[in-house]
Amino acid sequence: MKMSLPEYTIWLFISALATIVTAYASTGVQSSTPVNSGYTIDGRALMPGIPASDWVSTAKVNVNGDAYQGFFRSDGTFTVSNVPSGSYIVEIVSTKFLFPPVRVDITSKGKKRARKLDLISPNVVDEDFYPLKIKALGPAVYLKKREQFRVQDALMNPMVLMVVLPFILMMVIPKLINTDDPERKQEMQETMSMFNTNQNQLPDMAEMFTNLFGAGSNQPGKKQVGGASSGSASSAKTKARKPVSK
Amino acid sequence: MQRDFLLQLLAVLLSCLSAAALFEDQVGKFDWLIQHLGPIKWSRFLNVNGKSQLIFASEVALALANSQDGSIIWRKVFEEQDGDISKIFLFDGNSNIATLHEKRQLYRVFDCLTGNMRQELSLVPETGALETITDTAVSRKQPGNVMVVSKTSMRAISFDETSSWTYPLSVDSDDFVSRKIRVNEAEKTVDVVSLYNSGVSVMSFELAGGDKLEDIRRNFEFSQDSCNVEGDFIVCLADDSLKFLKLDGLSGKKSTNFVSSKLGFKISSVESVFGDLFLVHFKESTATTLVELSETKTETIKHFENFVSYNELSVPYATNGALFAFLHSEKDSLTVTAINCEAKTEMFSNALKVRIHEKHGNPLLVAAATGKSSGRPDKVFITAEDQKTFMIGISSNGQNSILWTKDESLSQVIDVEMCDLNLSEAMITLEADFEFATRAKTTLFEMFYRRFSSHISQFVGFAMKTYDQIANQQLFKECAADKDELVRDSFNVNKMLIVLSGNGKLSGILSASGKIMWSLWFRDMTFKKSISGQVGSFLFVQRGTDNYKFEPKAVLVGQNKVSGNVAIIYFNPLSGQVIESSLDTGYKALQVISIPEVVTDDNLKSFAFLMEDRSLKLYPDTPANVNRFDRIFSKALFVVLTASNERIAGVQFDKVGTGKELWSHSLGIDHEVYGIYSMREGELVDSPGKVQSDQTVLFKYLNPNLVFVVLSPKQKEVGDSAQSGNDAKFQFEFSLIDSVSGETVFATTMRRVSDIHVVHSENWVVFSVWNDKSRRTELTVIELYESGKDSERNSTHFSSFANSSAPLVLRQSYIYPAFVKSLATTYSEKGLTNKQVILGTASGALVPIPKHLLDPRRSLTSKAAAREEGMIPYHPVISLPLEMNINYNQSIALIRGSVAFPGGLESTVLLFNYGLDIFFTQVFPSEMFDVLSADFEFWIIGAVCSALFIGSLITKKLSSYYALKKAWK
Repeated sequence: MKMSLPEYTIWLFISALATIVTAYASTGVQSSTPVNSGYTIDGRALMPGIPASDWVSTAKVNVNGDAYQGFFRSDGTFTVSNVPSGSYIVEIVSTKFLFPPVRVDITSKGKKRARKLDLISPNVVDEDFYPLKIKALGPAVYLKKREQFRVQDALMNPMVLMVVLPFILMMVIPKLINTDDPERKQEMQETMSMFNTNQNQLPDMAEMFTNLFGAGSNQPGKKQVGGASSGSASSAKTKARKPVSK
Repeated sequence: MQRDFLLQLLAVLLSCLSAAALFEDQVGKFDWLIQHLGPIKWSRFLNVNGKSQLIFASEVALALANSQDGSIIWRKVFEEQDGDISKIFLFDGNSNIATLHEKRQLYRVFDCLTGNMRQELSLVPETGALETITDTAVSRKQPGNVMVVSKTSMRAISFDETSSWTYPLSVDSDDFVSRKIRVNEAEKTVDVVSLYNSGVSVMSFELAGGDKLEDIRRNFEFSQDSCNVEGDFIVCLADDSLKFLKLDGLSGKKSTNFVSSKLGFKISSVESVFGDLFLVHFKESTATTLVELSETKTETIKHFENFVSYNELSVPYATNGALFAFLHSEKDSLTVTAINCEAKTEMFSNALKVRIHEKHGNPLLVAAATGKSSGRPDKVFITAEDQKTFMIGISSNGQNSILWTKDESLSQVIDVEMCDLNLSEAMITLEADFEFATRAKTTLFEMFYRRFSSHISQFVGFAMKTYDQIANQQLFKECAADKDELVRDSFNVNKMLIVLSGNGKLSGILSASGKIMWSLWFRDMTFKKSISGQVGSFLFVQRGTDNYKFEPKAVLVGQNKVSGNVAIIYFNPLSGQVIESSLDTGYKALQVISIPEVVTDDNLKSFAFLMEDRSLKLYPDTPANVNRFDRIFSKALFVVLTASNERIAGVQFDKVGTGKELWSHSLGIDHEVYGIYSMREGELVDSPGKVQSDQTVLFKYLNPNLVFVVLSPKQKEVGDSAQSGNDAKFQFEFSLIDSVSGETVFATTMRRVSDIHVVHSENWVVFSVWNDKSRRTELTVIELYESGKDSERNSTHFSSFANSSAPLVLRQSYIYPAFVKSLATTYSEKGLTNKQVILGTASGALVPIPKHLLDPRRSLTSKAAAREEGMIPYHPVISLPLEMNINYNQSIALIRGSVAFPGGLESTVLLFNYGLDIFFTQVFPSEMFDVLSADFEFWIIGAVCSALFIGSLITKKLSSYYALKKAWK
């Protein structure tokens, strides 16, 4: 783009003016003593589906923290009075609903505009509707719900599945296979002995416990039945009696 | 890329934060909130739905409370700055209440029932120029009509703009004093009374249109010291006689003169009550007379020997005449007398059996309500001088009792300390055992015997207690009384909070229940920030309860209100008994310093005053203790940091007496000290460094002498503001200074910032500023690490002089999307638990920010190394889920500060927050890792265990049966 010198100076002047104006707008409060401190910020807050009178009594409007405050009327409208010119952040403080904050600029002549609050790049102007119309983002949730015990949840728990599934496999599959078939039995015993060669040397926990508990019930009658209370003994007996039964 | 990054951030955040929220059933389990209004200035009973409720106001808040139990139905809190309520108007029918804020020039009308706003009016004239309001009035019939008079104009402001009018006023002569407004409801006129030293002028206007009706000026000798307009009269005080003139007499054709009436005593002031009735207060006595002024004479209606206060009596049913309640004391019991001010007759009087004088000072304000049936007062609301409020119920036969009390002084907390409760008997025997064991000549057998016998006694004790419980049928029932007992719980989580309020009130509050166990009031003391030192406090616990042989002892340090000399109070922090007090020690001090290093033989920690001549006065000042101080600090260095308007200096003492200045920094003419922040005394840091991903260790720079100094530009006159262009004058300076060597470790400046809050702990400082240019709150973290080699440092004792290499300073800033009003950090028993920075916001929320979110090593890009360390990538905005809010939906009004104390459990931090309300809670920055979680269900684990046991028994039987059967096959 080519520009003649006077054009260029004018352009320069305008851009400089614009920068000054924006800088002024953003620092209005501090930069001079307020000439007029009687501007108002008007607006309305709404939560769709819920009448304003239900929630506005505990809510209020904060402008720049608690520097200026506005209170709600029962129809959800509010007015913040006596605000000098400057740039402000308007927040609706409610313990029931969440509202997005809005930025409102008031020029020294009393012209007002609202824009979306952008904290990362505060100079970006994304204009919003004025008088303010602030719609709730949703109900404010502060608390977690305690998980309740439900049978379905407990069953679908991976830990439970891990225990229950092998248990079913153990109980159901032997029923499906005919264990009485001697050939099969032979086969199984062989495979089992292949696995169990090492494990047999380890002390069997179940055996230990049954010994312990079995010793407690030291009844002579039970012993007569054939020492059935002790697992190892019973297995020995089954082996011993096998030929007899055949 | 950006999206991936955000998702990753979210995932990390969720994983570490999701568990922090409270469960629904934990509401109120760890926390309590007490709402206040501040010192009550106005109160009245109201008939709301057939019940008489209390509507009351302080300077910053207005509320409606249930008169039966004191619970607040609605409350409006106004702006903290200049938001003061100047006047309150209650309108006919009691459905509207209006507050007038003269400084803000605002008029607000609220619905009494719901607290919703009806209208808000700005009193600023349309020209925009602010005027100083001299007087205001409202029309009682119409809430939406305010009359404002200033030196230059009379304005009627209405919601309906057409009925607003302005009349410019001029000043006739240069001896103008002030103006007053009177509204005449009956004739619908408003009078502006202008007072001059040479006379009075009255202008009448029509209320509706503002037409000027008449303008009268009358000249007479009018001294502004003794004369005033009260109600319908001009009243002048002349020693023991009262001169008065009815204003209506001015406008009449016949000119009336002042009436003089001798009352026999020197009059101090005159107060208009209702119509022609005036209260005359006398000098040099508490007596007060209620008189009726007529056009020619005065007539005494009632004489009160010891007058307290009066207020309009609220009547829930229609009655003839205006009833007023007068509170006065007779033979140190308070009496309420009701007088019908229209009929000028005394209705009844009722003596209250409540003793307020001794402990709480004079009652200041009273509101009374009459019962429906009897017509006698059934409720009286009294505010005492120490800001405690009492609601007294009176039954029909004259018996009375306190329904509820509230301590409004707790809305002005200035300092908090915490003290452990007493050891329980079992803990004491345990302690004694340890002591016995560590004694020199203890044989093994003796120790065994002692251990065995203590076990036996414990078992016997347990058995006895259980037997008692069974006998009383209270087994497994938690006694309600147990919560208030001053004995430690097994986790030492319930402690005694010692809270100091600005008006000299000291309260002991039990942290578990929020119950005020004791309170003391020192009306002659003031607490100026200067005496506490820039980094100190007014309260010290000299001796805790850990040593069961001694009673606990705490100290309150302040100044005498009159002389400004140091005042010291020793008290028992658990019982609230004053052990020793000297309200005027006869000397002035610059600041008080706690010296926990010097401990006397009976376990008292020492403290000292820095005197104006830079000498040190040690307490306790026994020769043995002075010797101890000299011995300890002849080798180590004892430095006191002093700050004045011109400079900050370090003064060194190696013995009690005069010290010498070690270093000093000049502040320059443009700056003053905004605040000096040091880390907490005796703070424990568990880990001395951080392991980085490359296995090297970054050691923390743990310098206990480091202070963070904030300098602010001096407050300038309104005239020369920022336009002068010299920005250096308007910047805040932030620096980290070693208070022993005076070395500046780090310094930075910020321009156009305000509302600065700082927290300094371990090796880091976090501060928040409101950035006026970018219109946002910014949080900055500064972290310090050792830069030298590991071998150079002495890990156990830090020395400011030995450390030659400057520390590594890392910093990072973030945006926080709320207005920060307070900043604090958590402290745990052993310093092992993660740190949180607790933010209090303008909207009343308390937000804990985990310290690892405020870590200057968070990188902009997601590096593998950072991920390995578990570091969260940098994002400029710190926004946390609402579930993190510590105080969930209980917002704290006008929050000013938070103080954290370690609980007895490592995971638990006790957090006390104060503002207009006080809120206490327990926080768990690293979750509750040392106790079973609340949702741990004992019955499930019990059921599983017993099921397994029973199952094993059954299967044993089954297997043997099965095996036998198989063998027989």
